[in-house]
Amino acid sequence: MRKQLWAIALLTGLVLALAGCASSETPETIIKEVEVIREVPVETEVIKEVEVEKVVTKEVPVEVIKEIEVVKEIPAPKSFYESPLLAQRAQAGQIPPIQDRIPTEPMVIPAASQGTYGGTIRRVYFGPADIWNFGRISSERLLRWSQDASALVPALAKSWEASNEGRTWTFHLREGTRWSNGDPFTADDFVFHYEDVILDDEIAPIKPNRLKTVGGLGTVTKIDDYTVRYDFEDPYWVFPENIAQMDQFNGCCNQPYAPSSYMKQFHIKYNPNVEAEASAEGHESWQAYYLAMFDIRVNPLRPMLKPWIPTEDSRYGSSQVFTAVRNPYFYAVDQYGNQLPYVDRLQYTLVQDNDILQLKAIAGEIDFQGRHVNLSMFPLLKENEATGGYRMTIWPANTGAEIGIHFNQQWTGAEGDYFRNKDFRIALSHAINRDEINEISYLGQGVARQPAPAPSEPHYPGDQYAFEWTEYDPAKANEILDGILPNKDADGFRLMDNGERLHIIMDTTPGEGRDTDTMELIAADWEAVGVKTKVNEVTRTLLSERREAGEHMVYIWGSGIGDPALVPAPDWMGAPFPQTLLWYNSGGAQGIEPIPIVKELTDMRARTTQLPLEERIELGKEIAKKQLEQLWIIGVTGLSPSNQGVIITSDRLRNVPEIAANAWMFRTPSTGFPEQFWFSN
Amino acid sequence: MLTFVLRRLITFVPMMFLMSVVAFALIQAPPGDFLSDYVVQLQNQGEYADPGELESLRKQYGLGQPIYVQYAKWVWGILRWDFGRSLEMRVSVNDLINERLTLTIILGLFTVVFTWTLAIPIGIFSAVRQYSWIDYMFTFFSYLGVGTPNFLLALVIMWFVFAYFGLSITGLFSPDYVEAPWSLGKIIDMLKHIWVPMLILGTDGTARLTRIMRANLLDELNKPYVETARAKGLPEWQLIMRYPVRIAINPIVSTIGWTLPQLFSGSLIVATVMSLPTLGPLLLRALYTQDMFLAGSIILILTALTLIGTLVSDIVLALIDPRIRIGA
Amino acid sequence: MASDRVAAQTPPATSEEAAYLASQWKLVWWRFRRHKLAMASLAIVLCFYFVAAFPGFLSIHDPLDSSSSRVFMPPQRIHLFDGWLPRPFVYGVSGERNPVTLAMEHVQDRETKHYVQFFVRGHQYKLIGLIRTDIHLIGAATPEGMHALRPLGTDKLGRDVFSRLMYGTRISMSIGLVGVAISLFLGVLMGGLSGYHGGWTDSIIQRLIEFLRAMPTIPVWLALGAAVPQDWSVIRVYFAISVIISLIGWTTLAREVRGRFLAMREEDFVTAAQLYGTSQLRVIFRHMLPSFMSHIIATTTLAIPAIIIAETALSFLGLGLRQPAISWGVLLFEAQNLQAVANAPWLLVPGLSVIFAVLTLNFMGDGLRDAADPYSVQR
Repeated sequence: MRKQLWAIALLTGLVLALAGCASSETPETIIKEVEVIREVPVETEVIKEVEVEKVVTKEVPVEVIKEIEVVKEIPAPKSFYESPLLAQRAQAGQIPPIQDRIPTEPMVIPAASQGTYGGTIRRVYFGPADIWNFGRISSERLLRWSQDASALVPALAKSWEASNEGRTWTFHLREGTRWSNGDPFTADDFVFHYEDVILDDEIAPIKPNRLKTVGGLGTVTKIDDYTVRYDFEDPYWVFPENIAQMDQFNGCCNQPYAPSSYMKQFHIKYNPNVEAEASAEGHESWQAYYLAMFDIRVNPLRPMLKPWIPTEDSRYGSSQVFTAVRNPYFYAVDQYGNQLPYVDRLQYTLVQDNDILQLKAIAGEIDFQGRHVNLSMFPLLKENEATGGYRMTIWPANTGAEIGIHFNQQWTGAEGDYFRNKDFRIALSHAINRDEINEISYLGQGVARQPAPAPSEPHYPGDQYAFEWTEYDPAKANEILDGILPNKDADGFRLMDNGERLHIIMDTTPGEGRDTDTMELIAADWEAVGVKTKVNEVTRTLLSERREAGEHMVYIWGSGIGDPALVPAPDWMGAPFPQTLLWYNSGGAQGIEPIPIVKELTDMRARTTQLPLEERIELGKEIAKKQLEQLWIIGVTGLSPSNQGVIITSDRLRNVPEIAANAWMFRTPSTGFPEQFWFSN
Repeated sequence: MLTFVLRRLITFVPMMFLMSVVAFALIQAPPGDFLSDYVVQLQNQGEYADPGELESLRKQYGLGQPIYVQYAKWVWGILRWDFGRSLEMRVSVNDLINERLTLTIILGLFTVVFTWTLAIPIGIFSAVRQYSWIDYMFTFFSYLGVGTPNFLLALVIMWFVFAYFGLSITGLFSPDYVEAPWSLGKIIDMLKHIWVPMLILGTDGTARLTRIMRANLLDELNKPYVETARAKGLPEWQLIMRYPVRIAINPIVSTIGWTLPQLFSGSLIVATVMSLPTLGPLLLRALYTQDMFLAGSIILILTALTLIGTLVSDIVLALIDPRIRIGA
Repeated sequence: MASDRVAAQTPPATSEEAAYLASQWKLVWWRFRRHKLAMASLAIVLCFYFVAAFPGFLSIHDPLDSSSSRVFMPPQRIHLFDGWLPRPFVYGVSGERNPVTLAMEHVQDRETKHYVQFFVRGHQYKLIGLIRTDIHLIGAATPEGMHALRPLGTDKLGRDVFSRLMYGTRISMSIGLVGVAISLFLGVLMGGLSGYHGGWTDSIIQRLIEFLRAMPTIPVWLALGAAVPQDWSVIRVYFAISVIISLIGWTTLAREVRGRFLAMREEDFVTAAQLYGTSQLRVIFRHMLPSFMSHIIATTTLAIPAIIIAETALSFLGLGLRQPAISWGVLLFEAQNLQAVANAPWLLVPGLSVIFAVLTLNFMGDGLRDAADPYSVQR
């Protein structure tokens, strides 16, 4: 078993938080220190030899890692440097000089070493739906997570604060930040996007969850050009974490702002002719036209704030090779005053198959990629490191369980009676040989556990919850099952009370470390204790269709109890209680009313968003405990790097950390700060 | 002959219409529509749509109308050579298909020429020298070719070329040329790459055709008229080429029209595995996401190719063998 | 080979009288026996069917038994002689995960020998689907010996490739061929009718063929994949799919047959048969068809690998035969990824058996054609 120990080379801003950790005894205190970081300017410089002592949990022995990190004192850069290519263009008068392109107080991303400009990071992508392949590495956000994800750090917003008991949040922008076309980035961009897009029901039929509280949608107000205020009906302490995830480059709403002066030409309020233009372009409506022009896959000219922006003729998803080049107006520098990013461009080759990805990697045609690299590829890729001139690193993920076996509690067939029987589920949990599955499917890199939060998360409820009912004990399973389903047929399979064979159909779709082969192993384990099981591989869409309609007996998907304040309810309710989810979604008009425990959990979750951090963690633990006790979802293995944690890095690429926090929420590899990567020759 | 062609051209129109309906219906057949896939994507990003919101989204994508209205709109567009808009990429289907269609046809033609120039002579040779060691050798290689799945062959070739020559042979162009406009350099670059997929796609067809050609010729060589001609003192090769080969080629000609569309569907998985910029991978993706206008249009193009191919077959069949009076 | 042909001209080593009295089938059989390659092929095909009939007896391990300790174990050679003694054995092996590459590595222990035994007890199976037994042709006495007894290695789940190949033969050589038979029959019948009659019959059948051909197969498969009842067993799904493949597959043969018939129906022997009052089907099957028997044999032997491969293609689309059922197609599908090609080439062995089966079936067909064809001796 592996323990996830965050021995990370910590950079300037984080040193402070970590220094706090050194004296802390419990995870709770760590979090307290994180709060502090909000009031302290991140550019504060400290020289320190840090001894990190990390208490993983109260239940396990204290593990101490010594990590000595000498951080040079960095004066806030006063003079700025740029890529020679940009310098040429500036000299030719095509773009303004460097000091007019970056904010007066640019974001300082600490570079692990001073680099040189140039080079292309080559990657592969799988088509139009693979939007986060680009969105994660070339991200634009108000706030983002530090390398170990212990804290939010300022990005587009230089600071932020809460008032009115968490109901009001104020963000301070960096003066002089510009969009990739040179337009200034101001509070007007927030107001336009909110009032003319998010509030327009035609463009935005789905309002962004992250701007909602129980009382409804929050409001946006411009205080001055560089100050924006959000007001909510209820306390919304988790808003910073949520706004840090509003970073989608398509769709209507999952962004706090839009390039208003550019987008206005596509909006009917500012351009009365837009309907005619839309139909001339072959769109159903002006709203569809607006959204197409906002989507950078369709319109690469749409201004952005990303470190790399698509070239004019690149179409993400349909281009065989998609290229993004450095944004001359990118708002961040490193501690040496070099405008980032160091690397000139990102180049994505469209592929359809994992084998091509491996061939390309081995041929040295991939410079940095974790996405789509499966754990099962690791041995072959590792063996060929020298041939391809790359190195393999592992950034373990904090996935609670790659495989969560969700039992449909509202299954109407005779099987439903057993699915609702907790002892039955306990027996099936004991019947699974998790270590064997971990060895075969996860190369021994995972941990046999229930879908509990990762131990690195503050609301980790403790080992007794993470490992309950996980030991492989077919005898015990048989014993329990004999009490519930004593009769067997001629083939040795258990019969239900109505005399029919209990036949479980397990719906699954391959992906994110969930091979159908692995499900076959589980099915074989269950059949060994007399429970007939068929693995039913379907397409991703069909899987979710069946789940929504409640047509699944058993549904396989990744599971884990993420921060309950951040993860919307359907994540855990959808598969075990499809009818209740429908009940909630339809406002009680359809579906089945929640049973008491589901209602209680739902209400607890709703409350978490309103609580300040410390109370939220306590409640989060309660939720995790209560939910895990139910065992609606059996976990198999978790915490493996199988989800985007197996990383190919070119030998020539510098400043790539050995480890960084890996989760969807943190937009890994954004936690490795790709802006400061650079190529040596 | 002319009336025959004319009559066939007239049936072409209702056939195309019928196929467009079938194609449209088939794409709708799996449960859900484009939005269900889109909603899955939304959920993966932490967004949830309630039923009311879904309705508005449907409207936005033009999916709210009854299915026959959507169909009529699509067909009306096609009559004006506008295949509609991809739902997923929000780009005009014409733009998406154009280049890929060209490359698909180029690759197809290369493969067909490769197959025929190799298979027909080998087939004739094998039949004439039946049961010689060369015949056995060709037989062995033919079945090796037929018995190996294309995509496995693709993988094996790609791996070995890489492992022993250090070349990475994916795609149809080197990165510099992929997005470049057509030029002499790009054509040369394509020729450098195209042989691998051509070889892989052609293996199965070549093996198959060799066997068929050999068998057909054997059927003919055993007939009395051949013996008669031989007795009359016709030189052997002339004799073989003049009559038996012409008759033996008949069944091949019967299905020649399907070669292109067949290659296309056969190549779909190879193209996906090798990441070729052809129509196949695009179609597969469009079908998975139920991006109906894109998928429907590609299918319609394929259908048209098949129908035209059958017609061409029938014409060539009549030309090559005067005994055939079609439609008599 | 020429000597073969000459020999075939002489009646077999029976009295000449016997040759006159012999039925046509007997004559064919005598001629066939002279065709050495065909006879050898027949023997091999019979072997295949022996395997198909008794996969449980011939396999060494349970084909579904997986274990992490033997993932991707390379084939272990069975040494036939221990010194001078004809006592087959395998060396012991043990697997360990390489901490750097994370791959399982299997080290041979040359010190330990595990002797191979015959008729040993192992996993339970049903002989010919009826008799429950656990006797296997070969095996080893100890668990360590069984662990090492992997003549064709193991796959990514540590399952025994040899045993899987045995079980795969059963489905591929039975259900797999049903589809071939259906499309052969339909192809000859429909093509024959179409070419024989011409006119409206031809037009209707040809439009039907056109329609079937033009029908895009991949969306059909995807639609089917969603439509197949979820509680169907994999075998049942596979059977249904084979039938559907053949319902589309007959069209090629039909086109070819029709082309030939259009040309042939004008010939004298056909007219003669018609004038004699022979029934239509008899003219088609007895008189016209034999004149291009080679073509039919070639088409059929080509259809067999096609259907096996079609199965792997369907697996790619998430349809087709799947775990836990085993067929050659399933085995091939498992082999088609870079890890297998680069690091576990023994997983490609099922491909060889496909090729081998088709080759022998083809040679057998050739021999049959030669034996049945009254003209064949003239060359």
